[in-house]
This record gives sequence, structure tokens and C-alpha cells, in this order.
Amino acid sequence: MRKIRMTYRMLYETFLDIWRSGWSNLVVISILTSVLSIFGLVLQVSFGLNLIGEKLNDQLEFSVYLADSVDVKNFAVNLGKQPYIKRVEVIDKDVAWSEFRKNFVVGEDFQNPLPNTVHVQVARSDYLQSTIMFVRKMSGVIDINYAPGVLGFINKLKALLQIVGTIITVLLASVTIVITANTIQLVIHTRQSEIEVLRLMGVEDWYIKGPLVLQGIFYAFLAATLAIIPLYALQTFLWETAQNLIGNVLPTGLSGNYSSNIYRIYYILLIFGIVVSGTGCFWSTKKYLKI
Amino acid sequence: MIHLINVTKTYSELKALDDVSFEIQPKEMVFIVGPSGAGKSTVMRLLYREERPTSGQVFVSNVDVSRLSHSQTPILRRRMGIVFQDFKLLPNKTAFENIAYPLFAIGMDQNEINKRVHGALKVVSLTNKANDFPKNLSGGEQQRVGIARAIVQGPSLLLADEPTGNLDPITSMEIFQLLDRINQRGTTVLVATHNQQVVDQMKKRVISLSNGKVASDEKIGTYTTQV
Repeated sequence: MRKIRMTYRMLYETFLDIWRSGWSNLVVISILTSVLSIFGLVLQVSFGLNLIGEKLNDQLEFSVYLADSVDVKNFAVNLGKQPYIKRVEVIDKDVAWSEFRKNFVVGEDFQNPLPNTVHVQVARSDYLQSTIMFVRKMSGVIDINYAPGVLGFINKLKALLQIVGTIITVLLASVTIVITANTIQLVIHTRQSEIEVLRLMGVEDWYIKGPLVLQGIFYAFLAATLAIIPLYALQTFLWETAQNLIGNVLPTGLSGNYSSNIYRIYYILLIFGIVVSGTGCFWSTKKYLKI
Repeated sequence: MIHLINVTKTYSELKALDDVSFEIQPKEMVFIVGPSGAGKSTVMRLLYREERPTSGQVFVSNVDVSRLSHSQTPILRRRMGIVFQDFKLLPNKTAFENIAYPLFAIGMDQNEINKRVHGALKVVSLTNKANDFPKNLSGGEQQRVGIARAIVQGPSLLLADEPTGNLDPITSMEIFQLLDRINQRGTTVLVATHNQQVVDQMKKRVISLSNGKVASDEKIGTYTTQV
């Protein structure tokens, strides 16, 4: 019961501290919201690109043409054992030739020119290039056919976005840490007499430090919630626009994944915000709070 | 109740206390006197573990406080009351709230807080000023609020560090009489002061410090004969 009362009273002290911080709150929350919005945007686009990449299954496939001397079934079995390969399908040259002849008129004496073929699908787009390089080195491989266009572009865009986004996020996060630390320092300075009275009267450390830490968590919670609103609006707008313009060619199942992504982004922003403002609080209490 | 054994406290090159030893029994009222820099406040700070001795041992209720960990210190401080020269009242809280604040922060039930604060206000004769802010109280009244806050947790030991340093002689006398009344209720009271007139009139035990050493320790002493 005592712990519950103390927790309630600590929340009350937190509210008072936030109230006392006045305009400093606005500065910290605005900057933290900007940081989280940029970070969230990077996450959102990155997740979106991943999703599109994963949905473009045919882009994750390539065909391997084999020499007649190769035992195609063994080749397929060996390839299928690789952990990053999702599916292997053997197209026997005779079956392919027979199918071909059903659709096209070919003379009886015409020799089968087709090679044995293995269709390979990798589990993720990141594995495609390395798998192709690996397979190319296997003996008996005549040629490999794949369409790197869209997927390569997506991967390059994602890499660029992640680098630029990370640099901006790190810079802004550093600024936020400094500003949060200054705000908490201000609170410590304002509460100096109270803190001294509390510690000399035998109040435990956690009750004294608690409101300062909770203030940091409050900033993170509010900033993450504010940051997710424009991100959600942007996602909804882009999705609806895409539906209207190219709805008929969009891969199926994208909608559900998009909705779950926004929750994932919110949780990540919340944790990231707590880490950033928590670092600021920790730094400030360590430096300025003498208990 | 209090036992200092060969306590030395050094700040950089300065020796604030030099091999100080004395013992104070439960329910005693003792004055520590001496000129500025004699080491009076250092003794007080060692007792409420704001400082640790450079060497020697400091016992309060048979506990060596110099060995207490940081997390155990609040428990020690809740068993003692501390009165300060500058009162340390919070200006944005009323007399009642100032006294209640430490109880509030240790999670005491509100009814119990009300009961204890009214009791403490009664002891210091300030029941009619419960809702006044410090700025509306005289210096003596502010110190009485400080004393009420110090005794509200029912400590067995009351430490007062220059409690009348900012007060006029008449008010100082009132404060010392109040401390005497608290002592008569069974609380051990240790007062660090250089208020000569009051110490002479109180006829209590006086420990005199000079240059960080115990110069004298008399059962019924006076400031004048000690320093």
C-alpha cells in the first residue's frame, strides 16, 4: 500500500515538475517530435520498400541453365539445402520441349535445343545477388537469367535512405539529448531546496530521482504519439493514391502489412524516444543531482 | 546514543576534526560550542552521514554511520531530526505542508500525516499558523516550523546546527527553551552553537571544540568558561 501511495505521489511530483518546466517542455517535445518523425519516416519508407521487395516474388527468382552432363535432380537437391533458398523447381529439358511443341509447330526431326533448367527462389531480396554469384560458380552452369532491375533499384534506394536517415537522426538525437539534459538541469536547479530537504529527512533516492526520469518518459511518449500522426496520415494518403492509380497491379496482401507496420513504427519510436530522452535525463541527474 | 571514537576529518590540507572522542547518552541535551571553524558543523554532518570521517568511528544508536552504504543512509536519517540555521523551508508550501512534506514523500497515510503534523505544530505552539507561508512568518516562527518538521517523524535524536544563528537574542532563548522541552519529552538533543548567552543560562552539558579538538567537556558548563 505504501509503495502504491509513493508511486502515486511520485507521479504527482512529476506532473508538478513538468508544469514548472514551462516553455522548456515545448522546446524538448518539438525537437524530439521532429527527430522521431524523421526517424519514423526512414523506418516507414524502409519497411515499405522491404514489403514491396518481398511481395515481388518473381523478382526474387532466377533461372539456372545446366549442361546436359549435369545430374539435374542432384543439382537441385544440393541447391535446396542452402538456408537462404526458399524454393527450387526443376524443369526437365524434355518436358519443356514437349510443352513448347504443343504451342508451336516444329518439325519432327528438329533436335531439342533447350537445356535442363532449375528455377530458384531466394527467401529475401538481400540474398539474391550473393546466391546468384554462388550458383554461377557451381560446375555445369551454362547461364543464369534474372531480372535485377526493380529490385536492385529498391535495394540501392533503401541503402541510401538508411545512410542519410541515420545521419540526420543521430545529429538530431544528439541535439535532443543536450536539450533534455538542460531542461532536467533546470528542474533540478528549481527543486534544489526541495531535494535537499527530502534527502536530509531520509527520503529514498528513487523517490527523488523518479520524477526526473518519468519526465523524460513523458516527453518520449508525447513526442512518439505526435510523430506517428503525420506518418499515419502520409501512409494513408500514399496507400489511397497508389490504390487509385495502380491498384490493379499492386501485389495482394500489401494493405494488411502496411497497417501492422504503423504499430511497429510507433513502438520503435517510443523506445527510441525513451532512449534519447532517458539518456538526457541520466546525464543530467548524474552530473547535477547530488544526493 | 552517540559515540565518536578518535574521529579525524580532513579537507584537503585542512584538519576540521583532530582525534575527537566523546559519548552522549540517550535523553541527554548537549551543546557543542566553539568559534567558527572549530569543527561543530563537521561533527553534525558526520552524525547525519553527510560526510564520512577520514579516520575513526561515528556511532549513532550503536550503528557505525561512517560504514553505512548510500542506500542505508535514508533509514538513519528518518530516525533523527535535523534543524538548520537557514531553516530550509520551502517558500511555496505552507507551514503545514512544509512539515508534512517528508512524511508525504515516505508514503505515509494522509490521516496519519494530518495527526502527526497537528501534533508537531502543537509542540512548537504554531497551530494557528498552519496555513501560513514562510514569508508571512517571523524568523522565530520559521525556525519553529523547522523544528516541527524535524520532530514530526518522532526521532530519538535531534540535531540542531546553529539553530539560532539568524535570530535575535529573545527569539533564540525561545528556541532553546523549545529544544529543552523536546529533550524533556525523551529526545536526545545535540545543539551546535556559538550563542554564548543562551548556553550559559541553560546549564546543560557543554562540549567545547577548538581547532578541531575537544578542548573541554563539562556536565554543567557555560560557554564563557569553555572557550
